[in-house]
Amino acid sequence: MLEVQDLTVTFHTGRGTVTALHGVDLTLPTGRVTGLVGESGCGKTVTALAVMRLLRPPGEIRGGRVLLGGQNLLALSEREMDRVRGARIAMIFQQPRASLNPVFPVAAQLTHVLRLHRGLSGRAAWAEGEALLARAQLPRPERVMRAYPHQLSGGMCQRVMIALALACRPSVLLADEPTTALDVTVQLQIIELLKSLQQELGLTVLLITHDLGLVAEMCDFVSVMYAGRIVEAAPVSALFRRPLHPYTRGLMASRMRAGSRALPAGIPGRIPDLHQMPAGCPFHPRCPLAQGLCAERDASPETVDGGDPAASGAARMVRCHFWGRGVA
Amino acid sequence: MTLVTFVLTRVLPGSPIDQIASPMSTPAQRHALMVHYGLDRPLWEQYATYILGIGRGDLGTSFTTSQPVARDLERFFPATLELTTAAIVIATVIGVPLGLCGAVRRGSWVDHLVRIVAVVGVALPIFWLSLVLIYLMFYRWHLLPAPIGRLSPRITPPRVITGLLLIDSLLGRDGVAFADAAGHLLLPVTVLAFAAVAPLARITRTSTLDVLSSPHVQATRALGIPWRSIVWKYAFRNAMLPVLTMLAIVYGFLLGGSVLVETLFAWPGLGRYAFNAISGNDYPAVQGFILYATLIYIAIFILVDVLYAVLDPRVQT
Ligand SMILES: Nc1ncnc2c1ncn2[C@@H]1O[C@H](COP(=O)(O)OP(=O)(O)OP(=O)(O)O)[C@@H](O)[C@H]1O
Ligand SMILES: [Mg+2]
Repeated sequence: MLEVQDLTVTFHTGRGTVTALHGVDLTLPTGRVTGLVGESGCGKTVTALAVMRLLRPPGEIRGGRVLLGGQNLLALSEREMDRVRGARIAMIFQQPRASLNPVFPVAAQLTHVLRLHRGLSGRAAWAEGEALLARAQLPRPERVMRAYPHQLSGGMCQRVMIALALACRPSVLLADEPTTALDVTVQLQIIELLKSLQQELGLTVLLITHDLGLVAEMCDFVSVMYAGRIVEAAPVSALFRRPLHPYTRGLMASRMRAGSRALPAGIPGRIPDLHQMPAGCPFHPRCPLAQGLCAERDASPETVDGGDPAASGAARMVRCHFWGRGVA
Repeated sequence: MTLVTFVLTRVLPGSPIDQIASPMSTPAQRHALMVHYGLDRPLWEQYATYILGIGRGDLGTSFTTSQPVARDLERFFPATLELTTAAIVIATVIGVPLGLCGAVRRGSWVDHLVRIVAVVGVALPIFWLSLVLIYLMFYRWHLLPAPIGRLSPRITPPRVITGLLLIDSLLGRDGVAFADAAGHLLLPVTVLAFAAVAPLARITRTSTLDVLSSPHVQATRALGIPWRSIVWKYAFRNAMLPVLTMLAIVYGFLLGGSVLVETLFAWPGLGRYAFNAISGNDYPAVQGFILYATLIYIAIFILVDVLYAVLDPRVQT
């Protein structure tokens, strides 16, 4: 289990310091797939990068804990963290081609991580590298080993990234919009690959996406993020049956109409600029349920009984003063 | 290219006859000289003759040295090659690591040093720096031989093999000549290298910073590969690509700068030859020099292209 508690991240910009994550809580149950959804710019990528401790200045983790097997990753030294990254938690990215070094063949990094984390010698690392590429369903792995990123298609690059990420048998995989940049048919193949690898290896996955359809298909749990806060978290079935937060409901409504990357049509207005955060609940300027209180004070997370036998009574969280009013 | 040079040299005021003919010569004598050198012919005819000559490797005869220009250039080339190559090597050895350290330790004292060097290197005129160094190192402290030429008159030059004194003296196992040649090289090379360090350090710093914040470096970090390996094994190679291009540009700039430095240090190279040729309206010599410089330029860019193809698999060869 990977647990994120009260994670706060700031960016120092020319126009002052902005808070990109406000005390984010996230639980990734072992062997399950958890979705993280929200509009562009709400902080999904920053969350994943902070968990990996990959943020670079001007980004800074200001507080919170990231617990992996009871160990707080935020307290580790950089050297200790290097033994966690790749070996216990891995990450794949939105732009697969840009994530591969253009002037090195695939084999360079693949054999490097195998030597580093699994102590394989040159020849064994090469053989294992080919096996991993084959497992990521790349045809002719022996040729892919020697290929450079520009010689591979986007889908093949993402398969290489998956092979790299899983090379050292991590238990947790953070997938940041792994299919957004790919063609639709390729998207499906990559999703199928991720699904089968997840089940086969019992991976704990965080799937960041805009695509609620994908969430419904792949995830067991889902967290909804808005302006650097988790506003709702629930088992997938419960969330789709009965979304509690007005923002989640807006997202659902917009899914019916617009494509996955478009602004949610079901929600008027747009996500606030981090420099000009509204007081109180950050969603209130766009919220159909907003009242005076919402502009004064942000709601605190509230645990709600699922009230839903299908979700085996699992608790869910919502962060809204008036969530009860809009729920049918 | 040759046409532009050709026309330019003719259009500019002054005539080579002023140099050759004595001030006392009569108009008739001057005319005879014009006819002798073919300067009385129409311009297009002079140009055609010139181009045909180039085809045979004949660049004409210099008015000032009375030697075939091609032979002059060949004779003066090694001095310039030695000077500029030594300067670019030293500038690279200093500038690239400076830029790298500046980028890797961004905001540290090294980084500030890089930025100061970048500004000072651009701001200090070569001319001024040369005079200050000559004054201090030779006149004041007597640390170096007189800043005239490539060797002191009392030293026997090593047998010419490459034309580069440092190499020839090493090949001839002549320590005295080597030391003297190095002493003569030191100041002009320092001055030229000083001007070249700034752009090299700056481009290295910028391109390294770019690479270190690129998505593929982030992805490599996500694999647990330590930062040191990332910088030295992976990012270094990416960062060197723009530096390579800059090296070619800087080398061209040094060839230009050598005109001034060679004149200041009485360095018997192409730059001084060109300077004398221009001030003496020596058309064939100026044209020959520009042709030569262009060829050197092209050769350098071809060399850089080849290196690029070796370093960057995206370049198709
Ligand atoms: N380097 C940075 N400097 C300043 N602000 C940043 C930086 N990186 C991210 N941010 C801020 O953090 C916020 C969250 O960004 P993030 O990339 O996590 O969004 P996201 O949810 O992943 O969006 P998307 O769906 O477009 O990928 C953004 O609003 C952005 O303004
Ligand atoms: Mg993102």
